[in-house]
Amino acid sequence: MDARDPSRRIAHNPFYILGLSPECSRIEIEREGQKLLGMLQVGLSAAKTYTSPLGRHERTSDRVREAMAELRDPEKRLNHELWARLSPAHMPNRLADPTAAASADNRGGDCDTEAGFRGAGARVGWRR
Amino acid sequence: MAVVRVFFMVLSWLVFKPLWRRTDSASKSREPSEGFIAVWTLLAFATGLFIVMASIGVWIMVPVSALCLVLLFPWVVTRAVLIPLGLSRTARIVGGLSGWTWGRDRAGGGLVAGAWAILRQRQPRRDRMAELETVRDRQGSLSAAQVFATGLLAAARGDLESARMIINSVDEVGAKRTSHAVHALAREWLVVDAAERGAWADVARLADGERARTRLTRLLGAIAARLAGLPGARSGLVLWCAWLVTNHRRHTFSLVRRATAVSVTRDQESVPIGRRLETSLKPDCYTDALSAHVFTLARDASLLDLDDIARLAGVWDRALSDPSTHARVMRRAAVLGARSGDDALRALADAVSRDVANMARAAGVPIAECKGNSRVLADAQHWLRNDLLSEIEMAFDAMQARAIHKRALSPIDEWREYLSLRALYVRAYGLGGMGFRQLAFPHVHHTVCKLSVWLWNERQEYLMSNAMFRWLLDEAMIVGDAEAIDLQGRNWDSTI
Repeated sequence: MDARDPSRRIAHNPFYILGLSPECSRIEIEREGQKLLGMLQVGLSAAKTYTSPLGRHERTSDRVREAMAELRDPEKRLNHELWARLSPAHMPNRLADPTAAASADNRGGDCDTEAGFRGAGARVGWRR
Repeated sequence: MAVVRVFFMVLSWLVFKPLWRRTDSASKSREPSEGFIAVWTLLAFATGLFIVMASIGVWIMVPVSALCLVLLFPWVVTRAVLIPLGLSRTARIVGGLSGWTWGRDRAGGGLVAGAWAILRQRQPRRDRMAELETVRDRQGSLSAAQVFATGLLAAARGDLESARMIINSVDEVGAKRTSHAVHALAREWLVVDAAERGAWADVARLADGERARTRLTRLLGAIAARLAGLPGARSGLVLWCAWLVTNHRRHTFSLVRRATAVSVTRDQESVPIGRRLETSLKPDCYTDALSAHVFTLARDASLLDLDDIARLAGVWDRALSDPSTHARVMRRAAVLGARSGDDALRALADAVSRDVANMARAAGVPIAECKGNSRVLADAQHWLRNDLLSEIEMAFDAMQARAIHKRALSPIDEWREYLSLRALYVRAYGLGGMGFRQLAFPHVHHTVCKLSVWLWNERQEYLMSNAMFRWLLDEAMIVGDAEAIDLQGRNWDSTI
């Protein structure tokens, strides 16, 4: 797991990949894992994505196999359980932040005219 | 005839003023050479004669006079005609004839004109850029004009971040030997770029200072001071007067009107920032902490501030010290057959503080400034400091190895590498605080000093090397490194 990207711990948590609760048994993990692999093999669209608290993500056969392997190890399973306590539907509200528009990179083409001097470079002769 | 008399009077003033004025050797570089003045004077008198002949009916003297006027005032022609048409090669040659504009670095001035013309092309031509770079590399020691031209080429390629970094450094390279035009034009580009992004505080900061500024730069600086609500902003009347004497009035009119409509003493508007409300309705404080963690991850990093990070750390401190969290982990460890629940808790605490450090880094939040008794925050500060230090050491080690093994880059590439590493160091201490800055400076000093001594002693890159000495001296004074202050105080030449 890339230590630099905090979101991977949640977004790619094996429990969310397999769609299981942290209290599930080992048999349920194997059963669900095999079921998902079969569905992915035949190309069923229902299996192609999964949900975590950080949104929808792509589910691949490699990810499913990796998730099953991670959850077979008791130490690793315990670590993953600690990060999977939120329900996948627990998605934080993306707030309509009024400062979001002002923080956009104003590059002279995409910005609100109120924020910057739109097209300044072209107007004063620094570019076409 | 009165016109001709006035022409010769102005000419004499232009020609003899630099000769009369006593200047030191550094400032002499800003003015044209005596040879140039002599040639220009002869050409000017000849042109006067041709104009007189043309006026009495010798029509062949009309095109001859026109050509001579182009040679007498090449920068006027370059700026008004050649650059807007995007004729980079012609702009470089003709623009490089102007000793009055570029002083003794006419070749560098030609590069600036050529690069500017490329910027004005509809589709900037790569072959012209390559040609300009070849000409630049043949010019020898680095000069401020070369740095400016390189920045403009980066802008032509669409790499605005690099362009800003490079053009921002123009003032550092041989400040006393560089013509005012180079400083003024570089500053204008930066100001216009910042104005386009709406970074009005940056515009005001860039427009301020002792160096030469164009009238457009001063106008945009005055506008920015009003728009950003900075103290000392000029009145509307002053703004309109400045607008009247500046070019591009048609384009800046609406901006001046907008600035004059802003009240100078406006209150700071409080910007509502999305906040997650903490409630007691969550099942337990561990879930609360996890929920806050997810919420913070989901937010746009640019909107996070120190309070958000500190609050998240506080929520995790509570969760990790809560007995029910311990009990749950131990219970699950026993059920799963894991070796130790303590290991899992330690791994959790490490992961949390790592995540907090990475979130702070992504958001550019200087958590090193945070004091308090948060264990999570203290660990995050520790992770961040170690990561930043490792990165700085690795990056500067590569430069040091090159200096030791004498693997030279071209002068402009040496300067660019130095600027990139310096920016990395500045970003790092922006996050890590003064403690980190003092920790990292000795390594940075050792590497950059080694490079700059090599550049001075063996490669005669005096302007570039002196700029590095100056930066090391300033930095040594800030961190309080007495030995470095003494060394760089001897190395740095204030006359360059």
